Amino acid sequence: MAKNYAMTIDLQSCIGCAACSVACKNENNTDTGMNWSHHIHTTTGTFPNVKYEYIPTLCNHCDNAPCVKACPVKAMYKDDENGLTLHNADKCIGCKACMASCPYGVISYNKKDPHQYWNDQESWYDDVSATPAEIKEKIGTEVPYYNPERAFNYEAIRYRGIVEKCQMCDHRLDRGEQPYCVSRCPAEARYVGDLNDPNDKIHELLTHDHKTLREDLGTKPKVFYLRSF
Amino acid sequence: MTAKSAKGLPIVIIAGIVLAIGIFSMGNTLVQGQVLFGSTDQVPWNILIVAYVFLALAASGMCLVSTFGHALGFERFEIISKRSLYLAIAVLIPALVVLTMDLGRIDRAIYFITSPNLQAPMWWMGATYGIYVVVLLFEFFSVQTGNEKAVKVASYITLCGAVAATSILGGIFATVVTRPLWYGGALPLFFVLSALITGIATLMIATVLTYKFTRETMSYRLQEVLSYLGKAMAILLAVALGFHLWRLITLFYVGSDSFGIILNGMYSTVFWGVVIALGIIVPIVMLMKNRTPMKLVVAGMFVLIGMFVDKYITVMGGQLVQPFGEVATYTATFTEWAIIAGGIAGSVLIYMYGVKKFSLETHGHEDEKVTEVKPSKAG
Ligand code: SF4
Ligand code: SF4
Repeated sequence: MAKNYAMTIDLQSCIGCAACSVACKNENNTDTGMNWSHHIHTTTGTFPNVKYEYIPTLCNHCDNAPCVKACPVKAMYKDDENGLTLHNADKCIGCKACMASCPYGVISYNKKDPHQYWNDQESWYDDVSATPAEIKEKIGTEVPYYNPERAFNYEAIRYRGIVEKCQMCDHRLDRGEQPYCVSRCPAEARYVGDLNDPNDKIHELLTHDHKTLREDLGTKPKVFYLRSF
Repeated sequence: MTAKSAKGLPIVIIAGIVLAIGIFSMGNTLVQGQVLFGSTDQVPWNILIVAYVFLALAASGMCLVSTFGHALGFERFEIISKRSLYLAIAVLIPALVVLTMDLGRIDRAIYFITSPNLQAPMWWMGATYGIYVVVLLFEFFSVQTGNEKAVKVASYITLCGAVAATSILGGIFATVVTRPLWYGGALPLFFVLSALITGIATLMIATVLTYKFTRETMSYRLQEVLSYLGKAMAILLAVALGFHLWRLITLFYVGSDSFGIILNGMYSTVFWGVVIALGIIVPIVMLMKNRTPMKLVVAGMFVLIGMFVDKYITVMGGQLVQPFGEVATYTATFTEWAIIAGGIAGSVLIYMYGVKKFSLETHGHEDEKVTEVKPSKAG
């Protein structure tokens, strides 16, 4: 039976450290300003009556995904095998219809080729530190923290003129590993499971109070926030 | 003809320069990428989309007016059918070029054919505009070669094409549930209405100015038709006013953030001042009586400015409010403006070429019926 992956994020466990966002950048070779894993944080009230809320965000892999419906060339699609909303970098024409229709603002557009910083010929301190270009050359990869595993089923580093977004580490899920953000979360707040498997731990987790973002829109998001305060 | 060319020369030179800057900016965009644009991840679509919507609607409107004579048999419109049709082509082709500049990978356009998503309004827009342009060109070719039967058939198709393409273009926005300024079935219809208004305004301006420049006298019948179009535009403007009011009222009831942007926020001055006052109320008052040709031109200009700003507010304003309440900003860049200006200059040049080569003021068997009289006020 085909899988239908979903994520749970336990908000009472989450300590708001953003390790997920950092881990995501490492795993998926995203450039500065391009955040597949992001967060909303809001501070309300004045001292001493202050409330601080931190909600990690990512693509919700909506079951009824507006981005998929909007994409004219099926570059954004639902994968029948795993229920994820995936992007095909080779097909994308860069029309941004997906961005305009995603209610969560989680898709980014590559206005230029990413990681240009590593072509920079200027060092921070002349004659003391190496230039970014020298470091890149020495290491011999596109970017010094380059992760070649991402190339398993998606363009390892995307390029100018197309969009990109969270793929829920489908390359890791494919071989039975949790997404990198899940495995790097120090509070173990995250989990990805298969909604179609009645024995999956996710069903137990979902017995807790949970919500999804903007449920009213009918997008059927699959990132479930457990135990909000 | 010589007097015509001499008079038109300064315009050709200016339009040529603007077009050259536009083409340079397009080339620059192809080389450097969309870093030259003001769009961001928060505001993904930029003013090129606004311009495309505006121009494509104007083209559809003119196509519709041309079918009044060709397909629907309103004989009095026959004398403007050919100009209207040619103008539609002259505006639509540069508009499509402007649109392609906003695609990140235009080289992959083939996926529209090999990997179509029939759920996507944008796919349908591409398909309908593709077919529609070809039929428009065929129709004009048939008018030119005097093939009345082909004209009739083609004009039925372009009539449907204009309405379909325009409303599908509206559908791209209307299906986005998360954006209150876009969502809902009213927008595609408003696009069709806008198309008629914008098309009529463009046609009136182009026709009157062409006669001014060529120093030819307008036939009484032509003046009468123009005056009639002016009146029709005023009525359509009143309907547009109704649309705006109802949109505001519905936004007020849902307490949408977008409501504030229009009512008293970032875009309120241009909305009330330009879209409503300059673009709708003033032209309606002007067009109530004594619709002299120059008055039609001035009213038409106001309407076009109002309609452009209206599309700006819809397309850009619709994107500003972010998913979790934050409000983004957007500023168009020089490159974006240059591409748009280049597109419009392209339209002007294509139109002037047509005026010179295709005798747009006549149409087939109607020629001899046109009686020349001294121009006077057409009431
Ligand atoms: S969150 Fe946005 S990008 Fe992700 S599936 Fe839903 S609509 Fe698409
Ligand atoms: S930008 Fe790419 S993925 Fe997004 S709708 Fe356009 S073609 Fe599809």
